[in-house]
Amino acid sequence: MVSEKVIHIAIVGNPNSGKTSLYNHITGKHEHTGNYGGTTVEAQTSTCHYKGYELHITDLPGANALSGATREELYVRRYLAKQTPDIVLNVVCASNLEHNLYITTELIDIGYRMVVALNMYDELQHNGSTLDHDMLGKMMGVPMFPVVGSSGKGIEVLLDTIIAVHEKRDERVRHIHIYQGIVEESVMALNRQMKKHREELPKCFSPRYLAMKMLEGDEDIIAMLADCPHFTEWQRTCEKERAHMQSDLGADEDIKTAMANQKRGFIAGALLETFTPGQPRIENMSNAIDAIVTHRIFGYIVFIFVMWLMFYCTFNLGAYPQEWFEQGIALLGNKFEQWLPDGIFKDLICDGIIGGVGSVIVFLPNIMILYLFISFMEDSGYLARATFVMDKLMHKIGLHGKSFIPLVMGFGCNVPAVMSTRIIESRSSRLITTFIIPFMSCSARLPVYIVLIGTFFADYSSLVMLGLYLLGILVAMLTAVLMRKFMFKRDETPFVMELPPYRIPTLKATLSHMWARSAQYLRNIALVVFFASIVVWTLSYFPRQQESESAAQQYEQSYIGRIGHLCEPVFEPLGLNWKASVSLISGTAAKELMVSTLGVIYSNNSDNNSPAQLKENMAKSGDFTTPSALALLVFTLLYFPCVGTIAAIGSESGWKWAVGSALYNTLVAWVVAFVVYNITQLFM
Amino acid sequence: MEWHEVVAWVIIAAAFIVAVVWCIKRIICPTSRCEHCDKKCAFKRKSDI
Repeated sequence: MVSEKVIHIAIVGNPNSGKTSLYNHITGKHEHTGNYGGTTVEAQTSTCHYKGYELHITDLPGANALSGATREELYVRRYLAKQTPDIVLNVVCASNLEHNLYITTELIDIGYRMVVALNMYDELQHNGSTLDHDMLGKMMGVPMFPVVGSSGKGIEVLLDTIIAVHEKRDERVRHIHIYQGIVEESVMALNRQMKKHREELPKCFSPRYLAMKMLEGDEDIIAMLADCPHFTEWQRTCEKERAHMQSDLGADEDIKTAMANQKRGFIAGALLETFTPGQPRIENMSNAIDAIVTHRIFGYIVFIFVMWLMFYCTFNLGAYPQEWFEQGIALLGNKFEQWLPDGIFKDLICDGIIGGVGSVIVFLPNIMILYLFISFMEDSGYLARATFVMDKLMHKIGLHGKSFIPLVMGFGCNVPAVMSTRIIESRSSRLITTFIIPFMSCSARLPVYIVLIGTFFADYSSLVMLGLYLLGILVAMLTAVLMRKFMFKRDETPFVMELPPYRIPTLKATLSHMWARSAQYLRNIALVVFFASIVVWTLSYFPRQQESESAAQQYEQSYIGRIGHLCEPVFEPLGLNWKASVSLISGTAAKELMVSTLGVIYSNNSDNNSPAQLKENMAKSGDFTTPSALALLVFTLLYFPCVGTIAAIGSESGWKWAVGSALYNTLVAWVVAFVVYNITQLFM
Repeated sequence: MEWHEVVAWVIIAAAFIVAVVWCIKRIICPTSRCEHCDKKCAFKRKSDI
């Protein structure tokens, strides 16, 4: 019976409890992880095989509870209701048990078969704390096991336990009732009433859980029950029990708080018997570092230094491997020039494919260094501190610190950044953040900067690069201020930021994160840039001119040249000619295409199609002056992000916002580039 | 037509088809990770649940 050998497992736990690290270790996947809450915004499922079982494991977004107070909580609860997993794997951060076990009590209420993974157990031990996890598990009726998600320690025992619980062999599993006194009496009364008509109730939750949520006044659950024929009867009982409870509790405490307090009391009691706190060394170290990193003045200095260091290394350290790549591509181009017979095929391979793809692939080392920094910041916990530092600044522009994480993610790629805005509860903040993400300079724009800065601003490359990123941030801030002032006057939700402890990221995890993102860049080159380079080259190759015509005349008369000339009036005030216009148009599909397009256009049918040659050809062409190169850089930074980002904005916020974003970005880009061009001209 | 010219035209035609399909797919599904285009991945959008 193959079907009996499948176990559906849902991973549930607090934000930043290490669910995705554990998921990656069990499944062998490389899903994105980070040392801050909200890294996972959607369910992701993978399958693995273990001791004859097929394990379907789903990693869910972090939630502090299942009460439906936030989008994540509602999402996780609805997922559990709809998918009804065989086993819930509750991942608990061992160094923060009191806070993390709250969701465990909620899962106990629902009545799922469950196993608790005490993750990051090494941190608890380093602090000198001790935990009798067996006893704690017995008290809560749930098997508990220490694991270390980052190294995979304890995972085998955990999987064995999951199978044992699934096969109903684990004797520690029992259902416990957490509530006491008047609360338990009321829950039992409503539960009895509801159980009489069990067939009417949704099968996803137990009647007891539904009764608890009705008493709490959970709107989502009440809406779920509203269609049941006996709903009115239950509601009457519920009201009666609520009144009974309220009279017992008095005016100082509402029912929902009283129920939550009983759970917290239960956790505190259980930990009192099983947990002995040690010296929180990690906490002390975190506090010492935080004194500087989150200081109201030093915090900004550290942040700017880290950003500068990131761009310095990206540009200057990346220049060495970039040169090796360039030499390799030039060598490859020369070989093909010699091997292939003259004609369209040779031109396609040498100018179109090697010229186009080669001009983008050489930036892989730079992209890898950028991602190495971002991964390290995420995994160490610094990104959460940067969020905290920026919170004050974000408030000034009408947002709060939580918007900062999607904005930083935007430096990698705007598409996942737009999707990660789901961690923001407030609709207005979410929309503003989504709208300003395209101003965050994504890694796809980096090759364009490297080519143009390397050609026209080689002496102060790091500064120009940092300046571009800061300009993007400045425009984003101004946009947010304007939107908050004129479109959304009030933010609906307050913000509390949870600062995770500092963790030294493992080399394996950091490199794996860096590689996962770099691989995405490579995939993009293989799938998008490769084919787009051929399309751009074809448009620049036809219609064929007389043999006597020069390469420059051929390009100018080609289809792409005609398109460029058509758009030239728009870009002329920025000092840009038709060639730059064409590259900007191709960049709307994906920003990397700008460089491959320039690579094709400026190849000049020469034997050498390396990016170094591209820079030389661009410099020699006389098409750019310093002001116009700067205008092109600024326009590239700010204009229409890419088709993917616009589509992501459309699906997250609606097409009205997507079209608005595309138009607004392009308009702002033109105005700012125009101002920059004219001001720079005054000094040149 | 020489063999290499035939190969070149086949590559060009394939590139144009891929470019059009890519643009359409990117607009319909920006992340390529939802159930519309990847059945194997049980990646569900929030609105679906």
